[in-house]
Amino acid sequence: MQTIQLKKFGNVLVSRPAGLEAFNGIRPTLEQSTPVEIDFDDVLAVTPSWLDEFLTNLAEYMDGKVELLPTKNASVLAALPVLGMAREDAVAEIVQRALKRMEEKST
Amino acid sequence: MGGLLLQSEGISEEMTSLLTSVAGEVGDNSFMHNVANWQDVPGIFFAYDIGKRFIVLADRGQGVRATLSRVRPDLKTDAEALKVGFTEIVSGRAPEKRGNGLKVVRGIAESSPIGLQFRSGLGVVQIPRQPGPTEIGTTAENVRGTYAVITF
Repeated sequence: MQTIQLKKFGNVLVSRPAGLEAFNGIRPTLEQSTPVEIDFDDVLAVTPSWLDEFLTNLAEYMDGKVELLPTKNASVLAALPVLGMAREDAVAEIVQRALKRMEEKST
Repeated sequence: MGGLLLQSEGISEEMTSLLTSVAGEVGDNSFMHNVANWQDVPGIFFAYDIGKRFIVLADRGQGVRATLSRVRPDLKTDAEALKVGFTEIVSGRAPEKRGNGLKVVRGIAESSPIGLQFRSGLGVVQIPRQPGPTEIGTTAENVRGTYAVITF
């Protein structure tokens, strides 16, 4: 498993262009055959647009082999349900898996 | 702004995270939907007073109705456009898979002590500071572009 620590990109992650830049920056370091997990620790806020852009590109590149680590980040928890129902694709599946795991962990 | 919010008395890390996300998304929308289409003044107005608990963002772009009319040409009023923008997964930049940002903003404002007034054209979205439902209506005063006041 590979881990992407989002704090590498800053602690406030805003805008679609910045999300795309973050993906373009991390892509050369990723091994496509190994699943990747995303760590939200030490990030203050993520906007839905940044997360959407980053996740959409990452999910496509990794062929869906992406997992979101449990987080208590309020902005991430607010964005995930909308991203999870916005469409039927790899991102929605990734988000729904993550929300289910976090729900199971909290009960 | 996030750093200042964190240092402010009575504002939790959770609130800071949500406020930063709301302001960031509204401000980013102004740029994303108006690039190369500014009416006169490019860019956005952004100001905040943490002591008075408000954040203001405004742009003189095309406005929500003009943006969404590309994918929803049946929109007849600014209020209708705001309703679509804040409640439906639709983007003025279709077929790109976008258009969920304002839904997240609404969800945050409806479920936390964050208020939002968002105006575009003659349309207005009001979400009370104390958690409550969104009201969308029409005003007498036209706003060219968008104008948002976030209270907390």
